[in-house]
Amino acid sequence: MVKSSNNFAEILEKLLRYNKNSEKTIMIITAVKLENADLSLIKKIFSLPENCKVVNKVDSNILGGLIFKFGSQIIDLSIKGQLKNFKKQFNFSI
Amino acid sequence: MESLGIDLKLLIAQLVNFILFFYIFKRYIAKPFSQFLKTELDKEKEKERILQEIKKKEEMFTLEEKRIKEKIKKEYEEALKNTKQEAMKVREKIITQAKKDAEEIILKARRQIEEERNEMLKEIKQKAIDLSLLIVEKTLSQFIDKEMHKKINQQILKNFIKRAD
Repeated sequence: MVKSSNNFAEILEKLLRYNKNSEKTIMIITAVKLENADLSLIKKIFSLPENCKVVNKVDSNILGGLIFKFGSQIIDLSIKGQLKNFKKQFNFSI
Repeated sequence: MESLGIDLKLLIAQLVNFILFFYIFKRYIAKPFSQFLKTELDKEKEKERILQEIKKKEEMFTLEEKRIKEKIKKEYEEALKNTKQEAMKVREKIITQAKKDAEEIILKARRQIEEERNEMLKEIKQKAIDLSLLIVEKTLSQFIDKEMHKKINQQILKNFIKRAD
């Protein structure tokens, strides 16, 4: 099952909870390759263990921002994702 | 008598002759003849009477015929009048129904037009949104360079840091 969320607190909680379970792989999709410093920062922010693999995938289609993929969860913080949300809201208002 | 030239015997003979003739005439000619005349007269009278009767009956028939004709004419006019009234009622009913149907059709058509208009507007709005977002995507993909990407990523991470604190 795939879920997406834009609420920072919720995202943080999910990531932290995920982290506590076991070693897993987190995929981060960006438009440009992340620096090692950024990867380290991410590990630090979400308190990821050393054995937790963080994989950075580059996809220019997302236009910008980040997409976190872990387990069955997807957290879309990309510009394309935001634009999709705008589109949904506009469609809803129509 | 003889000096006057009258023969008595002849006179008597003529007289007897006359009386005989008169008697015979009366008995054998006049009577039957008058009987015949009377019969003929009676027949004539009877004919007259029958003719009169026939005439009377004819007049009666004529009157009766006239009366029947007038009756038929009246009935015909009455029936015609009734039929006309019925026809007018039916005509009115048809016109009313036709007007009602026409109004319904117009209303239905207006509703349909309104629906189609709304649908079209919706479609146009949708297309406008899609087009706008497409333009934004294209613009951003051209506008955002590597440095901007980095800045965006760093900003996102900074927000995480703030929330984590």
